[in-house]
Amino acid sequence: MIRRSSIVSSLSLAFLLAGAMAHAQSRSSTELKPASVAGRVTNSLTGDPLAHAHVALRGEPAVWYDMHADEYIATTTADGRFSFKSVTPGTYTVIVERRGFGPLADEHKNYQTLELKPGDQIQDMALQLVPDAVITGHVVDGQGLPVEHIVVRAEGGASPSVTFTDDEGEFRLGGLRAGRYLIKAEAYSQPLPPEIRTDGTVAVRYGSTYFPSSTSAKSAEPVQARAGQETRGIDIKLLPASFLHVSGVLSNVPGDKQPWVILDSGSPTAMPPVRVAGPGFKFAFWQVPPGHYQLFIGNRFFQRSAPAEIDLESSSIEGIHLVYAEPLELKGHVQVEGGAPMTSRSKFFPVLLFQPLGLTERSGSLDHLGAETAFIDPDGSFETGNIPPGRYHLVLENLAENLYIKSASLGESEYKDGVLDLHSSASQTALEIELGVNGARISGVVRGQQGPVAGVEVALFFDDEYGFDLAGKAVTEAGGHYAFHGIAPGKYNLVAYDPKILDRVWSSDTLALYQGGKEKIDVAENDNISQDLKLLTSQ
Amino acid sequence: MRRLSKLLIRILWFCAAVVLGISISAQEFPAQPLLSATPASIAGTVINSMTGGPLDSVHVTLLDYFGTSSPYGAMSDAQGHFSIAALPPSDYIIRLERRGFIVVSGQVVISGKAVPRKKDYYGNDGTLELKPGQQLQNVTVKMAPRAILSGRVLDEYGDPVVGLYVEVLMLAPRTLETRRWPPALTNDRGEFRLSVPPGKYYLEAQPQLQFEPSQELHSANTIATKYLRTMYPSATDVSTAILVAARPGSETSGLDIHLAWAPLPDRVLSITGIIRGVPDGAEAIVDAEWTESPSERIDTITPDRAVPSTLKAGEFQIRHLAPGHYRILARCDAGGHKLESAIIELPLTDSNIENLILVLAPGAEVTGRIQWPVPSLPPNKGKRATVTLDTVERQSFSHWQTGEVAPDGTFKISEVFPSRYRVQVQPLLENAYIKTVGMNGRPVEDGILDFTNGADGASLKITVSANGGQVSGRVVDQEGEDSSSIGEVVMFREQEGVVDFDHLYSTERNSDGRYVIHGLPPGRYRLLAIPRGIPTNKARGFEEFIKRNHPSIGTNEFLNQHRRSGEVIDIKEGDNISKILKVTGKDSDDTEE
Repeated sequence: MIRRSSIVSSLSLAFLLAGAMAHAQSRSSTELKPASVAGRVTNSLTGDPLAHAHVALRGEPAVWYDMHADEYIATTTADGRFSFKSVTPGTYTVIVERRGFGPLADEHKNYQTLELKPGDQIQDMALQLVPDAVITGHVVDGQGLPVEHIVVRAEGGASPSVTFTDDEGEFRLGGLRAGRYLIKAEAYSQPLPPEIRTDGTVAVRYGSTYFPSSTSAKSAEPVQARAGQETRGIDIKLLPASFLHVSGVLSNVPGDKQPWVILDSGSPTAMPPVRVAGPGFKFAFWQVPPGHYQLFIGNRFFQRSAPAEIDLESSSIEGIHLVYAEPLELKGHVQVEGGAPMTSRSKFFPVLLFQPLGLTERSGSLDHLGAETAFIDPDGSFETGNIPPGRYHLVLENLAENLYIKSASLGESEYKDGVLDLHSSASQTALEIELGVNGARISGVVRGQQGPVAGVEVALFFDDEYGFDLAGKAVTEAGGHYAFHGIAPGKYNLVAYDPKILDRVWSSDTLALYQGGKEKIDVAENDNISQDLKLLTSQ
Repeated sequence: MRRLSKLLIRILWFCAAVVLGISISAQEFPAQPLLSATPASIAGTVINSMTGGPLDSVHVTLLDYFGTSSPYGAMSDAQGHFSIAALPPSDYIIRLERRGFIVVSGQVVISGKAVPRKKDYYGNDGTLELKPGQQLQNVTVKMAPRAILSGRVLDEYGDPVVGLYVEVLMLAPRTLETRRWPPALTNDRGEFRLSVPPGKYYLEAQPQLQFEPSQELHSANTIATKYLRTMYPSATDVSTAILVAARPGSETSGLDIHLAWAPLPDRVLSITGIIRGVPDGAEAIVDAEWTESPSERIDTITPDRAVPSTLKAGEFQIRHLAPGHYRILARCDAGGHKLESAIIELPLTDSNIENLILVLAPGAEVTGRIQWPVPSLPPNKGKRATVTLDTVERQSFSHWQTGEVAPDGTFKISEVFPSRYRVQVQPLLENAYIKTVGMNGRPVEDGILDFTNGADGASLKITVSANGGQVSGRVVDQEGEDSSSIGEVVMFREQEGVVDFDHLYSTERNSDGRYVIHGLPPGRYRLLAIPRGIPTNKARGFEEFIKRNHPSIGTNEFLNQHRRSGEVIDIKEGDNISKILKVTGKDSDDTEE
């Protein structure tokens, strides 16, 4: 729950750090002739000046851990003007903010970098902000009565947001960027068995319901939010929750342990974890909404069992057996076909990532966070601990660009269709990996509404049962060019997106809200594929 | 304008915790209801506490306090009746839900007798123990039509402020309790709506933490500001805040809170200097602590504001400091040997401070002897007692050092660095206390050791008396009913009507509901029973809580307000005093207009 919601703050931190890294030159001396900066902030829709906007010039920190870099701040006057009369020359990130307004979409204009030389006098810096969009509505129960304190969430779009209903069942989701959103009224996941009544009345529990009245994101109706406008009447009638439950038993649990069991849907409002104690080690999740889940012992990043895949449709599932397993210690060896030397692409160590299937969907994050890393020594050997049993994609990083995983085997287990199945007995044998030298190349141009876009990302996904397990990422350069090298034969999905929007709010459900971007490709050995992409847009 | 997400997470957690709190924590308990035992039953009536009439369509739930078993529920009928049969015997939490109504505490009554209350933070009210075969009839539970308080939060320009929490404070003189009701969050128009039980409240808007003031440099024509916690209408403390009446079943609207603000310092300063005595290969760290004025013993600790930095060997620079009063300390851990400088206190007002010299030195060794009470028995056989020197200043770099007491009463404490210390001896016999502390043949005022210029050659003499005072008794509510489960007792030395936080005592209740405080040095004290939920275990937490929510607690005004429930007592050696204490204020279930 926390992980996914901390998006915004981590993003700004990332900007800050990026700014700091990119301009790691020595600090400007205070004896230099100061520069000055003046300009104007306007409403991008109306062109009107924006008063009371906050304009900041944030300097690079002197040392990386110094979070208190020099910062100049000005507030705009009634005519939208701001001025910094005396600024120490140096490199600054320009930040403009105002309540009720957001940054211009698709571009990084609100975080532009400013290089100030001694004596520079910038007169007309033009900064724009887009007015926020608002979505409003009511949440009512089966009788049409308002429901109070229900969490309402805008999923997808450029700025996922959350609020809750007041005593009249009303909600206002403000501060939204323009775009398409799924609006969900979230019922609490009550981890208790259904209520028992003996007075003849019937208990009704409502479940999470998407606008206008659907239990799944797939049949939800997207709501369009428009800059500076209020989208009204988004009324949600709660649907009765299903009373499905998932239960089972753990085995092989060490006597002193009381492990947690996780039923993970990848949703930020997943079921609360259940702690399981002996004797018996029985567990049950009550009142689970239908959907696809992974069930496992441990927590998201320290799993202690292979995950069980569960599809809950119309009936409860009982009698699931999860086997507690300590993580595997794996040793192995990487060699290049034909005995060629293994060369590294960069100054970084070559690494082998063990990435559990479904990780991208579960973590909601377009990176390999949660994958286990093994460093590959120059002689090709590697070892790693803490790998729970399960199915994994193998991902190589920092190797010479044409190299790819041609085959891998661990005793009986073969790496097939990009998946390696690790059992608890796998520690006994070595993982042998052969790298092919004729990996495919995929390249092309990413275009937005105004043509090629630099500085956005392209994600390459394994086309497995999840469809969106990350195989690699590329950043577009000048002219919108991107390229992947050393791609193993197989089926993939390609998505071009603005990392500011999608990087850490990934979900295949909300992907449906965006237009463009997705391409399926089939890769053979030594292919050189040209594939232009349209930038995903939520507008 | 600032980031909203963190707040929303907080509020989501709050919502989730309200609902899940019971069950999640319940899972920690292995106990289960006795499913095989003869079932119990419960039947009763829900009453509208305003009209006294029956209340229909109330969802009554009994949640098993210990386990994860099924909740039992019922709906009240037109006569307000509800009944649940076939209940496994267990402890239950009663939950009442009806739109537009709210549970007020103390409203579960069985056959004329109130159910013992085990309230918690989330307002769950009344645990009910059902024994096998027990058939509870005539249970009366009450709900009040809730009140709505609505308004906006506005900034200095009159613009709406989005994403701020607004909470009610049920403040003095009625009660110290806060935060029992979910806060409201302002929307994009700055609007909030709060559902609360009828009563009178202060409303408080809580601005988020803002940019650290000290990192800002400003252009000439603007003043940077920080928003302050503001009570309706625009008050930063209760003396200028306005009490708002929340009337049953109706809305009090137009409660616009204009955020109070304070200018941020218009410049930032730095402190640079040299650390002497850093051993080869070791790294020293400089800690700085900031208070707004030297008279405030502690206001804001911002250790992260002062980035510890060692530029060259021995040189340090602390940048981006706001004007104020600073305490600076250098320290170093060289292969297990600690070195520290003296704490330097200095004001930083107009200009940077340069060439500050911090000299690292090993700590001193303090020796001493304890005079145990006659007969001269150390408090427990076998295990040695310890003497601890604990820094008096509640600064971010406070520390303590401990030494064991030998059978002949002597002790030795090493690595004592310059500071002011309080002496503690543990364990002590139940009613024992430290009667006197002497150093180098002279008595020490208040028992506070001043080692700010070093502790070299200090020799202590500590006298322990077995005849400390003792206070015990019951806690009752305003009606004199036993209320021990909702009150906690705090006690502090009262000197000229001012709270002395250095001498703050708190107590947990005994299992029989009585409170006891042992081993009190003679003196004048104020005893106060305050509602649970206010941190009392650590004096520091309590102090911060009080300062934030009750800025007046250190004043005679506050003490006068609490004269009704608080007690001033004089304690002499060997006293054993029994006091019945009233909890300050009471729950706001009154109906006054």
